[in-house]
Amino acid sequence: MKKRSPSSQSAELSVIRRLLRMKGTPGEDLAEMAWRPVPLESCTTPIDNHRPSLNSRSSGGSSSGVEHHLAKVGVAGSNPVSRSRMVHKPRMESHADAILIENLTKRFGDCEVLKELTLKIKEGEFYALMGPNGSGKTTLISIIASVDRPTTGKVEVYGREPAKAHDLIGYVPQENFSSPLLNGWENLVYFGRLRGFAGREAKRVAENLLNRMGLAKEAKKRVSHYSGGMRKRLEVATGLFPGTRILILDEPTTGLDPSARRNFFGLLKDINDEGTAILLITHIGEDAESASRVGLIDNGMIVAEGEPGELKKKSGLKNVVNVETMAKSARIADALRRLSEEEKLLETPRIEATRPSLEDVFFELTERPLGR
Amino acid sequence: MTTQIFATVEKILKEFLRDKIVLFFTFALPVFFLIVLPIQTEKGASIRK
Repeated sequence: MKKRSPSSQSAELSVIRRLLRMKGTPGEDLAEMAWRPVPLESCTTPIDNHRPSLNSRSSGGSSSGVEHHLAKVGVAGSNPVSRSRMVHKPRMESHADAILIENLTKRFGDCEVLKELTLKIKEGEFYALMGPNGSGKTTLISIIASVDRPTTGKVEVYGREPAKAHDLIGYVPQENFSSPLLNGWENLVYFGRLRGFAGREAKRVAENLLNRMGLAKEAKKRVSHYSGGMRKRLEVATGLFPGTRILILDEPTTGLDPSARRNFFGLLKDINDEGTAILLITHIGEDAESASRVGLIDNGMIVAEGEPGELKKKSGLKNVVNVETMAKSARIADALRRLSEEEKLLETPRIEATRPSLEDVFFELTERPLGR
Repeated sequence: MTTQIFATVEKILKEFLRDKIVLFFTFALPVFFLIVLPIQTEKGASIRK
């Protein structure tokens, strides 16, 4: 444990106060705000107007929990999609916010998992939500993906209720959900057909997605023979069917080696550059640093929010220089002072400067390590 | 809705036919018992006689 002086603690408290996003509305009846109906006409396309009503609760066909999960959010949605959607992206009224959450509270019995949380994700933004286990990350995204409902508060995805925005959301849960007995192409065709694409269209889209993900060569290989990185890319592809405008990824790098992780983030950058907003849920600071904006969540509240560099600046943490030396400890301080003049006195095989990581920022703000 | 139902049925069938363990317990084992059981019943019947 790092000891801190009272002055640094008070500075830290002021930073926390500045960063805390406590937007409570004590006088307001939050129950009234919950699931405020949003007129569908306000953000629909001519295609949407002809579409049958989206019934999120009746997405049958799959018995496993994960598939049910996916069915609800559109990966395996139940809404038929018109042929023209393959060609045209749904034209919608321009909404500045891909996701808008205001005073969201979620309780499981007496346990309050999310506490009046407010969050905005802009269209085309790459947003990372970072926090320790049990901080409410997965609950939050299951509400965004309409798998769960909030106790109180307002949630909108492109101006619609989450349940009515299935076709805009691509959700990739933490667990593997692709069938290991089918090959990559068959998996994508299956998910495409569940999403409402007719046979030929689904096959064409599957081929395009496999090319885009760099899996064209492995298309006919069984998923059980895929590496972890390949399988993750395939599962991300299931969230990228035409029409998807926000991709939600729940801890996607779990189990990936460093090179697969780097490739995966390259792929996410490409997807983001094409205009798809990304909401990345993670507890790894390095992953969060790839995002354009990061939100730190703890105990169901957003503790801090901003660009990664900005967060580091606000935390007041300084760069650290690590010097590995063969010199005896008593002589180190003196030797370092004269390092430039008396190089022979001190053998310095390695000097490295480390910048504070987002994990350090989180620890500084919450006084708790991420992997608690 | 029909597309989704057909897609799911096709997927289940493909998975079923590719899973050797499931195939063994669904076809091979019942066939084995179908062959062995009548023989045992005949023996049992002869003992009772």
